[in-house]
Order: sequence, then C-alpha cells, then structure tokens
Amino acid sequence: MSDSAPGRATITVAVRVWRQAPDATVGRFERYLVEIAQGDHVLNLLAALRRQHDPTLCYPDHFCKIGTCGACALLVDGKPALGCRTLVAGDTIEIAPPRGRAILADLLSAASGT
Amino acid sequence: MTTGRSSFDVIVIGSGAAGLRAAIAAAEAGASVCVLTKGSLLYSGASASANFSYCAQFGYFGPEDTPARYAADILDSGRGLAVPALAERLAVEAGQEAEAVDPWGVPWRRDPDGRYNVATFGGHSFRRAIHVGLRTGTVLMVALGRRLAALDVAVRDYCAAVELLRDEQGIKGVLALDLRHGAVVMLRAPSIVLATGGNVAMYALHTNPDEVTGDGHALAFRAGASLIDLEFIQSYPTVLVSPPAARGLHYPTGRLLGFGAQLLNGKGEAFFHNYETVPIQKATRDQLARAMALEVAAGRGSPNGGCYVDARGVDPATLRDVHFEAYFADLGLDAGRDLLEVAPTPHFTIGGVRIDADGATDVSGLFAAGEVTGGLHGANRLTGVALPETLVFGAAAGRAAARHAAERGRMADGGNAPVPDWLGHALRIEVATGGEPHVGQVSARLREAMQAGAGVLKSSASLRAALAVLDAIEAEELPRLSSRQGGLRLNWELLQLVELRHMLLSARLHCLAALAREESRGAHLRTDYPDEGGAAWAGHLVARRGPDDSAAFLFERVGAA
Repeated sequence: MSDSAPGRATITVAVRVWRQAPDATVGRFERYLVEIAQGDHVLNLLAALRRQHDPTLCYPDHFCKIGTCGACALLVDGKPALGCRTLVAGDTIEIAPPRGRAILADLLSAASGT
Repeated sequence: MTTGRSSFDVIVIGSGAAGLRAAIAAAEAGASVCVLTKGSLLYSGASASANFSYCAQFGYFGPEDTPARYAADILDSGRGLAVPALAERLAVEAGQEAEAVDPWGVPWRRDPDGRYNVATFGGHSFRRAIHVGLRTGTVLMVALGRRLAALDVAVRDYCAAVELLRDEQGIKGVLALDLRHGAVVMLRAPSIVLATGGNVAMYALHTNPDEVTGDGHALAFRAGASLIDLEFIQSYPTVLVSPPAARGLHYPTGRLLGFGAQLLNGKGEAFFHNYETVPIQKATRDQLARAMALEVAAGRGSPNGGCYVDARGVDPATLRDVHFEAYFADLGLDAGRDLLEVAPTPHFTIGGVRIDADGATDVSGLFAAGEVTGGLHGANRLTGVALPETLVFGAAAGRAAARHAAERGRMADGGNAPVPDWLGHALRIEVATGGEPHVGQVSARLREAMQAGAGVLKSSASLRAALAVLDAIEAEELPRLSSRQGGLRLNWELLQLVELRHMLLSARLHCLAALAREESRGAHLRTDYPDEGGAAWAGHLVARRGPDDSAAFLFERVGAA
C-alpha cells in the first residue's frame, strides 16, 4: 500500500478507466476524479480510485509492485506500460487492459492470470 | 492446469517459493497435490521480489567453514531465541537445495573455477551469498514453476483460503473462496502445507506485495495451532519514503556503505556512531534500523520521517550493481544525483506458525514452511536466510505432508461448502449505494493504525492505541461490510474482505505479543523498555487460540520446552 504521506502536494486527476464485469464480453470507459500525491505512479492511482470511489475495481494488485514481476501490464494513454513503473504525467489519464489478452474483469487480464 | 477435483493427498496454500517447493516435493513422493493461490502462479507472493542473496555454506573457506558455523551465526543473530534444530537443518541443507534447483533452471553465478560466486554480508562469519544477479527471486520462481509443470499438480488460482477444516483427529481440508469459478468450495486433504508468507501488508508502508496479509498466521491460529515469536517483525533499514512512486522500495544501502555512501540525518549529519560502536560498514540491519528510528524520534528526521542516503560519491558502476537503474529512471530517481530519503520499514515477518524440523505443526496434518513459520530466526533474521528457508523447509514440509497423507488415506470429495455466517453476511448484495465505510477504507484504517502504533518503535501506549482501532474495526465495521458487486466471480471486494479478516487477527496477535514482551530484543524495539531483558526474557511467547478467537500467551523459557 502506498498512501501519500501527510502534508505532501496532491493533485486531482481525471481518470478514464476500463470497466468490464467478470462475465461480460463488452465493457466501457468510466470517468472518475481521483486525488493522488503529485508524482505517483499508475498502480497507486488505481489503489486510490478503489479507496475513494469503488472497492470493486479489479486490477492486477496481487503482485510485486516494484518493477520486477511484470504482472501489472496495462495500456496507459494507448501505450503498453507497467502500472508500477509509469508515473501519472498530467491531470488526465486513460487506463485500459493490455491488448490481445482475454479480460477477466476490469483491468485484470489473463496474462496476469493463467 | 486447473481441475474440478476437490480431494487430494496434499493441499499447499500459497504459491511463493516455499509453496512451490513443497508441492514439488510432495508430488515427487507420489502424493496427489493441489496448489491454492489467491493470485496467480509465478507472479504472486513475495519470493519473486527477493532481489539478491541466497546464503548457503559450501566449505570454501577452510575447516572452520562448516554448517555448524552457519547455524551458530543464525543463533547469534536470533538473540537467544532461534531454534537450534531449525537452524541446523537450514545450514546443512541450504547448499543441497541450491544444487537441487540448479537443473530446473537456476543459473547461479559462478567464478572461473566453477565455484559459486559468493558475496559477503554482515552477520555471516564467511562469504555465503550465492545469487543470480539482482533477479534471484524471479529466476528461482520461474525454475520452480517449470519443475511444477512437469509434475501432475493441480493449481487453483484466484482462490483464497477462508478457514481450515479439522476435527479431533486433525486436518480435513480447507474452505476457500474460488473467485475464478465464482464458488465457495470445500477442498479435502489429510495434509495441508501453509506457505502463505508474512503479514507486513498490515502496515501502511512496507516493502512487500500488498497481498501479504498474514493469511496463514490467521488460518493456523483459528485451527488451533501454536504460533511463536509474533512480536518480531524485521525492518529493512533503508526503504524509500519519497518520491511518492518509490515509497516502499527497499534500497540496498548496506552494500554501498563500504563504497563511500553515507547515512545522514535530516540536518545532513552522520549519526550512526552516536548509537553503535561498530563501524557503519559492518552494521547489521537491526543496528541501522534502530539508530535511524531513534534519530527520527529525537526530532532530527527528514520531512517524510526518515534519513538520507548520500550515494553521490559512489562509482556509477557500483550503483548499477545494487539496483535496477532503468526502474529508478522510470520513477524519476537518480542515486548518483539525488539524496535518497529513506526510513526503516517493516520487511519480514520473523514469527509465525511453530514447526518442527520437518515442518510439522502441533495440529496433526498441518504443515508450514517459509515466512509463515516462526522459530528459525529467533528475534532477528540474518540477511540472506529467507530464500534458503523457503526451499529447505518447503521440501521438508512437502515430503512430511506426503508421508502423513499416505498413512491417513484419501478423503471423500469435498464439493460445495456450507458458508460461514460472517461470509454469508458479506455475500449479501448491497443494493443501496453509499454503503460506507467499504472494505478498502477499513483496510486503510487498519494499516494506518498499525503504522502509527505498532511500527518500528513501539510502546505500551502506542500498542494500546493500535489495539483500540483494531477492536473498533472488529466490533463495529467488520460485521457491517458487504459486497456491492453481484456474484462471486472475480469479486475483488470479497477477496479484500477475506484478507481483511485474516489481517485483523494477524495484527491483533502481533500487538498483543509486542505488548507482552517488556524489553527490547533483536527486531523488537520498545521505547518504554529500551534494554534487552536478559535471561528473564530469553524465551518464546507462544500464542494459542482461546474462546472466540481470543489469544492465550504462554511464556516458554528457552531450553525448558
């Protein structure tokens, strides 16, 4: 877990996140306003989204989160990226599951599964 | 690899190195085996993050370089509490296990003469740290996965253990939340190996994957097994606390202190010599962590409650040897340019389920291996012993579990399980929105309370404050939590709820044990009892379950067992 320390500068980010129910074959982007520490990475933004808005958000969170295992592959602003190694650059961001893999739910894909 | 079968000889809970090694050993002994993991195989668990050392003894350095000497180093580090039978097994078999995994695909670095390349670490009498560069844990996991795939082992992923099932004779199986298939399942086996890792995810800031929620500690306790040394949690001394994206990343400062790196307080002054007489280059992790925590507590910390590592004078090639430069660059960090802001942070759970040298607990049919167990490290873990612990005791527990199963015989199929009351309540779909607090908020509250009250430095007052929050969560919030997502399939909210329940018990046991030990020893630092208590405290606090999950602690003097 990586909550920002007290007193640190925070920013509000407009986030478009892919949501797809576990048994669904289609999904859609949903929009949230999420408060994070300035300079934080995408995985911590998703953790903040889950705390601040929706505890049901499913993303690859049962993994190393320190750049080693490769399980948090995502599509960030249209480009392949590891969530734990990608900083939130501006005040808007789009986060989707990686291309070419079966989606298990929301941002969790079969690559980080089977 | 997933099968619909629900009865096995051996069920292994957890898919880190200890779990996979146990599964391999049990399957090689002829047992039918199922591995349960709440995440996914090869990715989940803390083992993959172990970045460097596996300490083993090969007799390279003369007649004194023996297993007995390695065991003696472990006992010294454990401040009188390390269990000799466990230390001896580790010391004898760490090298054998390194050789056993080699053909499965672990290319240990070797010197030109064919011997293992061995690095040096504080606390070890000889150089013992073999490695595969900085990715030792990841490489080891891939190799274990490859060996596992060659055996007929069932794997249930996204499947979280909820309760162990037992009767007077012993273990019967496990009740689990199978998120992949969307069912509460009962899996039967006469032998279960717990390999769930530690519990430091109960802190807001820690170095492990967030899934390390003390599941095995809670499962074993509720099943009636004894746990020991729960007050001891090792802090890694130099964990980054800024910038935000790097918080929780451990920085291997120890290897740089001999190359000109400096440890400074918030004012930019060296301070370690004010706390210890040993030169900082030879300091062990606990000595560094203690000095840093006391310096910060004295008001001389950095803005985020830490100290600074100044590695700007270190040769860039040396820096590249100790950390992943590309990863640092992604996070906007440059150790050759920036001061690194670091603080001692929970890193490794030293205490846990009590085992004998074969990994057997005091519940018939229940075995355990790796970080979930207690005893090997006593009051403080020696660097580089965690990885060999996973293999040596994983293999031992897997073999013993297979033997036990062969004696007891297979059980009837499990099928779907009756759902416990608390889980049934949680499964009730919350129709109204705004059901607050939700599980993520309650978990965050628990983690903040543990960070504030039960972190590196503890006192009676701080621990009681943490326990008060845990009590409030247990009494008022946990019973009201429910899922707002329909169905069980990949219901991440329920997974978090199962984890929260394990974490809450694990946190309570840690606080109670830490409160009971009125001294400082090894990794356990009490500001109200700053000195080691001597012979009077040379013993284990053994936790057993009382009525309603209450804990009864027994103090057992070393040597009196």
